[in-house]
Amino acid sequence: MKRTVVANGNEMVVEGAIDAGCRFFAGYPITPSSEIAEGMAKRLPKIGGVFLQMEDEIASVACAIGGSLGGKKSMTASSGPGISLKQEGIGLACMAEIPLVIINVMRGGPSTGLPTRIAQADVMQARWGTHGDHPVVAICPATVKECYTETIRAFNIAEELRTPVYVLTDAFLAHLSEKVELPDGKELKIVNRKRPSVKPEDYYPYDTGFGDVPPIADYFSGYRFHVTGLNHDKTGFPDINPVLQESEEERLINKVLRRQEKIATYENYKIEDADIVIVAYGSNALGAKEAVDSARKAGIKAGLFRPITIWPFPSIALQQVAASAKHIIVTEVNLGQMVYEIERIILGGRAVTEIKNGNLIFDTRHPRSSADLTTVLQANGTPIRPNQILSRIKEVA
Amino acid sequence: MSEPLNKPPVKIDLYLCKGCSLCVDVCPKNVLEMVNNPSVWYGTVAEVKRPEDCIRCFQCENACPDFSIRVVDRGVELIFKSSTGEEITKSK
Amino acid sequence: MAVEYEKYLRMDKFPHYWCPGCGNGVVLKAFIQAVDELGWSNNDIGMVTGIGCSSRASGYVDFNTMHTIHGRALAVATGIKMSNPDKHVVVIAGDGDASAIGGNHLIHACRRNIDITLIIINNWIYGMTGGQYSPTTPTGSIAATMPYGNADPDFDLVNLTIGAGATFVARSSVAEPVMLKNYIKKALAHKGFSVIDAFSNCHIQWGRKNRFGDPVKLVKHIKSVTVSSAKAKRMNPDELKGLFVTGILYENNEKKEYTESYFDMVKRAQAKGGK
Repeated sequence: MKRTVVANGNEMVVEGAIDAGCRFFAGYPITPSSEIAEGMAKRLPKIGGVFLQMEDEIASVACAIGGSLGGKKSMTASSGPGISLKQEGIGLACMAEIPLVIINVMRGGPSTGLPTRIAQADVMQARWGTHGDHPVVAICPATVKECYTETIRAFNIAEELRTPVYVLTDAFLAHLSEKVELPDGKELKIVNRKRPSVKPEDYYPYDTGFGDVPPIADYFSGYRFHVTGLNHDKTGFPDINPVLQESEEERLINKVLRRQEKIATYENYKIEDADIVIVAYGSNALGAKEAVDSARKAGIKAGLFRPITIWPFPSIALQQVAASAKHIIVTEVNLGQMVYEIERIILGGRAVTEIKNGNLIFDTRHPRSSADLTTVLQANGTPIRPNQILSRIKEVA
Repeated sequence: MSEPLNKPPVKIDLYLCKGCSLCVDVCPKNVLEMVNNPSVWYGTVAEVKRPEDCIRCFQCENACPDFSIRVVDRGVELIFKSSTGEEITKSK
Repeated sequence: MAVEYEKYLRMDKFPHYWCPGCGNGVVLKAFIQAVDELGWSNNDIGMVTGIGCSSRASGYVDFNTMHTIHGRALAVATGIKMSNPDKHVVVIAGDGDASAIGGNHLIHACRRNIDITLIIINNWIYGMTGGQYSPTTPTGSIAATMPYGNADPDFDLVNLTIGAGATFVARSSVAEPVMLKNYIKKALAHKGFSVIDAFSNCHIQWGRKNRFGDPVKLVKHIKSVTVSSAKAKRMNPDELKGLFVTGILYENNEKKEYTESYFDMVKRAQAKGGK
């Protein structure tokens, strides 16, 4: 049944994870994400789940991977420095195709940085952090309610694609309290990993005969198989054959690219006739929305394009919006990270839809934009105020 | 080689033997020897030279890292040809 | 006693990739013999390994196996065990994997006393990467990154794990494979965190740099630097210098095992009621 709660971002991440079916959490204390660990510590034992505070960040991601292989929906949560430590483990989950959700409550950085203050400076780390060519899905909730709904969606994507998924909130959103109306549990769409239906002796952990995402068995369920972080063949054993490895590496990337229309969600706010388009994501979009509203009141045709999934970036949707805009203002709480991607997308006129035999396949249907581009950036630990965005809108109007 | 005569106390699987000679070293009865074998890339493998002397102590099997040398349990019947060509039967 | 090894091994992956004479195969064999004697079913065993020659063992056994990242096998194994507490989870790691990069996970697995068995194949070197020194490389010996003689003191893995809280610690070597199998069998049956410090011969990397390039010679050397605990009791400290004592060196059945302790806590939580 529907519930109304007053909660903050961290609490809603916990709620979303539990309702998505997460029954395994391994984490380590770090501001500002410790409350997620504390929430899972309280909730999981009561419902037969496992919560472990491990000895360090790396142990946390490794343990969460173990929990996932053991058959449980698994999550870990941390912030900047901890996510930096987890990179090798995240790479293992990418290569071995293990479903995993990683919450990054972004804070000021680099290094110890500003532990209690907002930043959005880990968005490129989410894309490129772990070494090697790897698939990435990263979601940026903007409201406390989205912390709930997008965490559930993150689990669904992780389970469906057999890949790690980031949920990037921030120190501000984590502790922002709001009234949230939660849907009835029965209304939630929950996706579980595809488990094999063949006999154990016919099972291969990376068998693409069932589609580009192979079914994954649980350990100890009668299916015995090998998993490794080395490049491997369909049996899970190490393999270095260049022909097979090219197709396997591309399959990993295409798992995400081929589904980007479904995964790369976004929001268009007052965009239909907008001359000035703000591009903002995460909690920064809240201020941007206010700025757009104020601008509209003052007669300026402003609108907001808000990517909800930032990786893969909703490129085609942005190109459609940028095509008719005169000016684009990119605002993010960092010294410029997503803006490079946005610039490339709107000026290049191409979106990558797939990689095939070493060729990037582009969608070139949407024209390049001739819009001007300016930025409202800030990395001092405080949120960008709507007035800052509004003054820029007025400047360029 | 007919089946009935092929139950010696100890056998070496040439596919697995890597010629490390650990089995030859641990055998207390001098049953085994290293021999040159040009058909394997490391050039040498172990061979059962004197099966009639084998006391089935399992030292060679325990010392072999490659699961190559296998000993038959004591109490199990053996039929094999000795190093001198004699037919040997051991009822247990 | 003859064992049907094929029942427990992925024979299609043999011959295994370890060097001719490498002790890793002997440790693996002792482990399989122990599993066979315990009568465990393949489906109930999970093996997690890290990175290194020792850690390739997981590819060769027909269990639920995972080859993870360097040093983190115990953390992954903890996750696998906690999500399936009634199954058997075994970790095989090298000396560098377990005590250098994996050191933190080692001491905490010991502290938790989680029911996992850790077999450290201790060959005194980082073998796979070309013979760099590890925390157990003998002081003074030559290694690729200590070409003038190892300046580092080395870990006594037995003391380390006992100190950190493990409840079954034994040391053995490939020079005594039957005893090794016996200790592994006891370790597997032990309820709690059990550690086997199994000396092995890396004659190719450590051996060749230190005049023990022949596997037979190196195994004999390992035999000469180990002494059983029964014999060691009758020796004085001077005689014991430079020797490693083998045997079951610590056994404690009193300390609560982690999954028991954890799921007791879960019962407490559920009895409390509420959400």
